[in-house]
Amino acid sequence: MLFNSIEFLIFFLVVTTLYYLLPHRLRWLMLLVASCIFYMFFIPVYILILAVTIIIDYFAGIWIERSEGVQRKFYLIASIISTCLVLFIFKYFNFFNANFEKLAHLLHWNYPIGALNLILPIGLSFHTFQSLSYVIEVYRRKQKAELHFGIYSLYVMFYPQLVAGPIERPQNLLHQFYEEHFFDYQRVTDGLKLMAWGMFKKVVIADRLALFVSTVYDKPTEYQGVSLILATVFFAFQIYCDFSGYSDIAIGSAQVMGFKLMDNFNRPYFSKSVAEFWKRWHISLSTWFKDYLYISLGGNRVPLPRWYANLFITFLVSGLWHGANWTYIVWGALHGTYLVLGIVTADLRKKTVALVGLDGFPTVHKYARIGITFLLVTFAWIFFRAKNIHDAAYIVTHLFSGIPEYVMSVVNGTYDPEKGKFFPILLGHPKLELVMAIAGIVFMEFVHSIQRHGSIRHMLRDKPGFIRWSIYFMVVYGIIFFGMFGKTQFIYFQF
Amino acid sequence: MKSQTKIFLFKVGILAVPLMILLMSYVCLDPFKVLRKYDSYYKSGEPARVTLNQGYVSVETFLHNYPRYKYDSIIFGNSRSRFYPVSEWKKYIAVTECFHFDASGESLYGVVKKFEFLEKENIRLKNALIIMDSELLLQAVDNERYLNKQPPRLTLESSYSFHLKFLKAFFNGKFLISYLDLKIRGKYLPYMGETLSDFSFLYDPVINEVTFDFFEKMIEKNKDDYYLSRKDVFYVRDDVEKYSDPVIGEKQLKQIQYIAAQLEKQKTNYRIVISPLYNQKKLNPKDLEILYQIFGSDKVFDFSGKNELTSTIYNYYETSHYRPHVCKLILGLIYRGK
Repeated sequence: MLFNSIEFLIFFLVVTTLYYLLPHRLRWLMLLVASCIFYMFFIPVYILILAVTIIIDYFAGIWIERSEGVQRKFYLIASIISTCLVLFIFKYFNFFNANFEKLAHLLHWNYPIGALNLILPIGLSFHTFQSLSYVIEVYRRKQKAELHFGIYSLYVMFYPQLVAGPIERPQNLLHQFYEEHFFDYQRVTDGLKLMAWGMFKKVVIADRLALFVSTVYDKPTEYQGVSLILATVFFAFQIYCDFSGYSDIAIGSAQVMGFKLMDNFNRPYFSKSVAEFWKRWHISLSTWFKDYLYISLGGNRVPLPRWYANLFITFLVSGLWHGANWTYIVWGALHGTYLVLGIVTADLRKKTVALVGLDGFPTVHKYARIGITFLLVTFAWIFFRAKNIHDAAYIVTHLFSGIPEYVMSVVNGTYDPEKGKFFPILLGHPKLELVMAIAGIVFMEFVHSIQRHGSIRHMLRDKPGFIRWSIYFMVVYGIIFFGMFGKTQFIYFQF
Repeated sequence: MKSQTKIFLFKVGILAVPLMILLMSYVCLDPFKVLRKYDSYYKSGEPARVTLNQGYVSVETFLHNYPRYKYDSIIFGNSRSRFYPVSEWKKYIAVTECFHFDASGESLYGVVKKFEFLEKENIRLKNALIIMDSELLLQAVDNERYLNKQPPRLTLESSYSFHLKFLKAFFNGKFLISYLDLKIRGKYLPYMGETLSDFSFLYDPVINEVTFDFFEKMIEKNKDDYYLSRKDVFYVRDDVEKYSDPVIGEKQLKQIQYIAAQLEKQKTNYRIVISPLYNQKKLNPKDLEILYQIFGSDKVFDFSGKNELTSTIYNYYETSHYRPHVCKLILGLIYRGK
C-alpha cells in the first residue's frame, strides 16, 4: 500500500496501537506479520521471493560466521550471487537481453532468447542491498550473525523502510528489535511531525509538480526552451520532495514506535559541489556504494587514474541500480564525470576564484557554488526522467531554443502564458496550480534555510503554543485540502 | 506514561476537531448526493451547483422509477447522448417507456455493466439507442475519477472505494472553500466557477433527460453573441480529414460482442450512432468495420469526420457537445433515412 493512502493511515494506526498494547516479547512477531501484510498489498505471491532471499542470507550469515578462510569467502560469494541473481532476473535480464539482441541483429546473428514477462517486485533493489549489507558486515566481522530467524526477517522486511529505504546497516537496526520501547510523548510527536512534513512534501508539492513535469516529459518534442527548462527544474524538486517525503514518512513512522532509522537526505540542493551533493542525497545508498563498492575497488588509495576509474565505475553502477535503461546509466556516468572533473579541476578553480577576487566575498562565492551545483545536478536529472535516450537528447538540444524570442515577447508584453507562442508555461494546467507549485518550493526552501540552525522540531518545542499549533494545523490541513490524492506512486518505488 | 498517552490523545483530538466537523458536514450536506436517495437529483430550472456523478444519478433514478414506469427503451452513451430528446425518439419507435441511461465520460466498460445490470434485473429491452465515439470505445476499464467512476450497483464492487473518492473530492481545497462559502452565504460568486456550476437546465426525473434551455435561449436570443464569446473555444480545424487511432482491441471486442449478443437475445430494435464530433476525426475504418461485422451495417451509423453536421459551429454548444437539433436530424436519418 502507498504511504499517501487512507489504507496506510489505518494500517499505521492499527500497527502502532498494537505495538504499544502488546508485551515486548510479542512485538517483533506483530511487526513481522504487519510487514508481510504491507508487502503483500502489492503482489502477494512475491513474498515468496522475499522469503527465499531471507532464508538464503539468514543461513549464509551463520555459515560465514562459523567458517574460516576459503569456505567463509565461498559462503559470502554464494550469498551475493544468489541475492544479485534475483535482482538481475527481475530487473536487468530484459534490458541486457534486448541489447544483446540488437547487437546480434547488427552482426546478423541468430538470437533465440526471448524477454521474460515479469513484474519487478516492489522494493527489490532496496531490500536486496540491505541483505547484502548484512552478509558483508558479518563477513567483515563487524556484525554478529543473527540467530533469531524472525528478527532477521524483520530486519529485511521492516515495513517503514521495506520498499524504498533508507537502506539500513545491521549494526544500526538489528539490535533495536531487541530493545523495549516505551511510549514517549516527545519521541512519538516528533515522529508524527516528521511524517506530516514528509506527506506535505509528497502530496502538496511533489505530486503538484508532477502535473507539469509529466506534461512535458511524456511528449517532449512538443515543447522547447522555457517549457523544457521549467519542467526539468520542477522535476529536480519533484524527485526531492517525493523521495525525501517518503523517507521522512518511513523514518517518522519508525520513530513513533521507538526505532531510529538513518537520515537519508540533508538539504541536498544546498550542496556546494557534486561531491557534497552525494553526501546529502540518498545518503543510505551513497554510503552503501562507498563502503561496499568504491572502497572495495580501492577507493582513493590507488594511483590517480585508478581512483578516477573507481569513482566513475561506482556512479555508473549506481545509475544502473536506479533502473534498467540507458538513461540511468548516462545519468550515473554524468555524475561520475562531474566528480572526476571536480577533482581534476580543483586547483584550477581555486586559482580562478582567487584571480577574480571571489574569495573576498565568501557568501557570494558560496551561493555561486550552490547555484552551479544545482544546475549540474538538474541537468543530469534530464536523463533520469526522460523515457529514453532520444527524448533526453531532444531535451538537451532544445533547452535554449527560442529563448531570445521568448524574452522579447515578455518584454513587449505580447507573451500569453496560457497560449504562449513559444513556451506555454502553464502547460495546460490552471494558473493556481503553477502558483501553488512554486509557493510550495519556496516554502520548503524557507524551512530548509531554518534547518541550517538545527532541527525544526526541536526549535518548535520552544515556541509559544499558538505558533506551534498554527503550524501543525497548517501542515495537516494543507495536506488534506491541497494534497493531490490521485493514485500517484512514489518515484523510487519503481526501483 | 499513562498521563503522557492521555495528553497525546487529547492533543490529537484537538487537531482532529476541524476534520470531524467537516466530516459531519459532508454527511449532513451530502454535496455529491451519494449518501442518501433522492426522488430527483436535480431541480429542474435551477443550476445544479455541484457536478454529480451522472452514472450514479442514472442508476439510482432508474431503480427509483422502474417499479412504476417499467422502462423498455433506453438511450446509452456519454453526455453527448443526453441531447437526444426522448419525445423525438418516440416518433420512430413504438410507444414505450424510455430512459436516458447515460454517464459522464461513459466508457464501453460502463455500457457493458449497464447491459449486465439489465440482464440481472430481467429487464427486456424493446428499443435501444447507443451513442458512441472513439473515446467511449477506447475505455474498456472503469474510469477512476469520482465523476466518472461506475457505481457499485453496476460493478458489484465494494462501495468503500466509490465513496472514498467523493470524500476526497469534498476535501479538495478549491471545492471545499467554494462549497462552504456558497452554503454559508447562499451567494454564487464568480470565483466559484472552477468547481461549482452556474448554469441551469431543465430536468425530467422520469426519463432522466436534461435540456440545456439556458444555452438554447442564449443562442436564440443572440446567436452571434453566443458564438463570438466562445471564439477561442471553437478551435480551427484542419482542412484534411483525419482518422482517430484504432481503439478496438481484444478487451473492447469481447465487450462489444457481449452487447451485440444481449441485443440479439432480446430481439431489440436498436441503432448505434457514431457521434459527429467537432474534432471531425473520422472513426478509424478498422473500428468501423468491426462494428459493421458485429452489429450489421444497417444498425451502425457513422456521422464522424468531415460532413454537413460537423462543418458548422452552430451545431455545437462547445467543442464537445452537439445540440438537440442535430440529434433530431440524426434520428430522422437512422430511422427513416431522411
